[in-house]
Amino acid sequence: MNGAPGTPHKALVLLCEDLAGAGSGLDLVEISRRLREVDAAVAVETVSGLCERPAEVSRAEACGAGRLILGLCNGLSGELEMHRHAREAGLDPLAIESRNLGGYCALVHPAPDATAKAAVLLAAAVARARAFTGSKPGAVVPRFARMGQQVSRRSLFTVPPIRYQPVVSIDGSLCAADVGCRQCADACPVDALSVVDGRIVLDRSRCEGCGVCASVCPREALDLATASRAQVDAEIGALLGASWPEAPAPRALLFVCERNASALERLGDGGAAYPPAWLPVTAPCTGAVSAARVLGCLAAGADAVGMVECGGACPHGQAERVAGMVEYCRDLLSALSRPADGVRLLPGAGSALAEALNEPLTTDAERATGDVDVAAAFFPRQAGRAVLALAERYDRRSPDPFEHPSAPLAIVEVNEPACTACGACARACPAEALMLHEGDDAVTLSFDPTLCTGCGLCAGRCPEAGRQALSVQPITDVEALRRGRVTLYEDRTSRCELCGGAVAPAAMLQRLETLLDGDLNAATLAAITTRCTSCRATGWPRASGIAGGEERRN
Amino acid sequence: MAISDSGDPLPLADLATLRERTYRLVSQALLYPDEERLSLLGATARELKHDGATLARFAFFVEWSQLLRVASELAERSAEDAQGSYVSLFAVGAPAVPCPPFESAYYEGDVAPGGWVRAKLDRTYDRAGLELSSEVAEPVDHVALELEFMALLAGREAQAWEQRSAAGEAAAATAWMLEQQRDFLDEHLCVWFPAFSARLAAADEDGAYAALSRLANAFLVHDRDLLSALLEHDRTPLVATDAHAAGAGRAGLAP
Repeated sequence: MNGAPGTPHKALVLLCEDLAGAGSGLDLVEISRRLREVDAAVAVETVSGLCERPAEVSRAEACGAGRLILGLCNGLSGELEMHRHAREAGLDPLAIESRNLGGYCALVHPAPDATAKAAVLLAAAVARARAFTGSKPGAVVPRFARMGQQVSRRSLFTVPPIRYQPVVSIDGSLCAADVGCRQCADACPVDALSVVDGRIVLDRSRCEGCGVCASVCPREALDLATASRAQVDAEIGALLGASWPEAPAPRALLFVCERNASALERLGDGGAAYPPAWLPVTAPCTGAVSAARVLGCLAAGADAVGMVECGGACPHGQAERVAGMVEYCRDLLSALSRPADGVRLLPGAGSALAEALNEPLTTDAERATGDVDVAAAFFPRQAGRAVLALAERYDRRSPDPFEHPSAPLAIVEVNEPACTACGACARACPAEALMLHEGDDAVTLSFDPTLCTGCGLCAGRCPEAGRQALSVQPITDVEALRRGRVTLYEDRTSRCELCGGAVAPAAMLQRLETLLDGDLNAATLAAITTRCTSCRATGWPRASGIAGGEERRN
Repeated sequence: MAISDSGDPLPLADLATLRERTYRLVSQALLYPDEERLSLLGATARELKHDGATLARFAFFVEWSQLLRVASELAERSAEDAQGSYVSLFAVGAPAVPCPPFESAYYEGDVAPGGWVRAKLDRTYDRAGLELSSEVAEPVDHVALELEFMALLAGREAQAWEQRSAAGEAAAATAWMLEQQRDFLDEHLCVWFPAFSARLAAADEDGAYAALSRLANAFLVHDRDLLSALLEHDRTPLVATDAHAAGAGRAGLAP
């Protein structure tokens, strides 16, 4: 079933024949033609009544396809059965992408828009399926469905229906928990992550697979097999880059969670219609869609980005995070003299959602066309770069800096008289935004705002916090982002009297003198400040009272 | 999402039996491959493949099917060929064994790091009412023995389900058997098998033993999750039982 190493998996697209008669009717021949135009290695088959025949997934085995994409009339019913058939055919169910082309296209858009959009959605689904690299054991966790109180004696002793919950996986080699980072654990709505012995540990029985942790990790150490960064990048890249000659000019991305996807799919049942410009992308939870992702979409060519909200009903409690993120993006757009409604929050309820989807969309005159360089647009762990990409595109001058509590980045500043250049902040920084460089004569603390994620670990580690040596403010400063890495503090390295080796930064020694004044005799203090750690062990200054406690105070 | 049963109802006793047979298969595959053992391995794999079609509802099915295929392929090799591979990877007594098949070899540290592992296993087997037959040459922490222990526990679980089912008692009483298996995986197999498998991947590359251990590792991960899920599900009373009755049920099952 797998392609040889290095070759892409063969992809099979199955289309339900009934789509031709659903809603405005989809032209399946045309869809097939367009798919093959985008990707010659895609095989397309039309299957009568596919939506009710989950066993048809075994066709993938017959044609040697490692990735399967389903174009359906309505939502997946019998999903568990479909997964079973997939496994019997040797296909990992996670390698299957399904799209409700009835609900997303035929029932809500007129022909030929519905057909053109269906082709675009399927091409994006192929791209997402191709970006799936296989799941490791443990990528999904079995959960048994709760059964009602009416239970037959026989069913007490049979295996209950199983639902498989995708959970995050952690790449320990990337994780920064050993330097104190616990952003994922703090963000997790169900306390499934904790730090044990300097490592992040996942309680798999609690994980709900919302993906919020993966979106906040500054090292990209966490990922979900069913909604990995690579998969989402690939899907968005295909949606924005797809050629769609007759498409109305605006092209907008709509992030919708699994819970709201069915509400979106069913809009057509109620007779609603909305512009085909809205292209849906499903995420496990919209809380996992970061500002960097949204801004990246705009930088990559989207005219607008919409987030469908669950509000107070969010099962993962992310309503506030989503609202704050959207507000930040809107403030940023305003600062860049762009219409704030380039980023929108849409209500999740049926009729309100339809209404919101019909609100005007404007084409961005400067939208990128042609092949979209997704890698250049998406920096999930470095929102600063996404902000910069957007600023570069829209506004050559730099807007005034502004502060926002939901800013995905921050500006770090040093209060020079208080800093001792100890480097604790740089060691704590998981994004390497803060760095300490120890040169021959000088020690330099530098800061690159494009890398900063605003986590605040640096301030937490600063030993001189009492004198406000380091400050972290959630400020978006485009000029600072443009400047890139700057020196925050520089100090002379004090040299050893005996060997000339490094002792410590001069400010640190001064601080020590101030703190220890009166506690140590002059000779000991001199030894600490004028000798390196190797030389202190040999030849103390003559008039000494060294390590022995009773001789310490003369 | 509508939760519908995916496939024919699978009795918990049958699930336990299939798991027992899978553990036994892997155990046999990781013992010295003499002719008799190889031919039995092939037959076991074939039967299990046939009987285990119902396992397609579980996420481990794809890797489980591949595991049976690898076992069958191993069984088709000549005994000398298989023995050559086996000895080169697991040779006992050789100065530097690439992939020691004993749990104690995977713990770093002080003098005789393995000692406490073996003592702990002795106690665990003893508490389960088992002792090593004198015919067994392998040490108590050999991978095949640990896997066989899991098979035995699963077998007992299967019997318990059958007895309970016949007597009409609540399913909650078998919870401790599931816990025994889950705890053994948590404390032993799942701790070191991944490292064992990684060593084989490095030493055996495309070989049968590397594939076997990789797929067996996937099965172990899934099985541990499955046991946890069954225990979690079991805690929700399907019929009204009070804590007292459940406790009494537990005590009544102690050997």
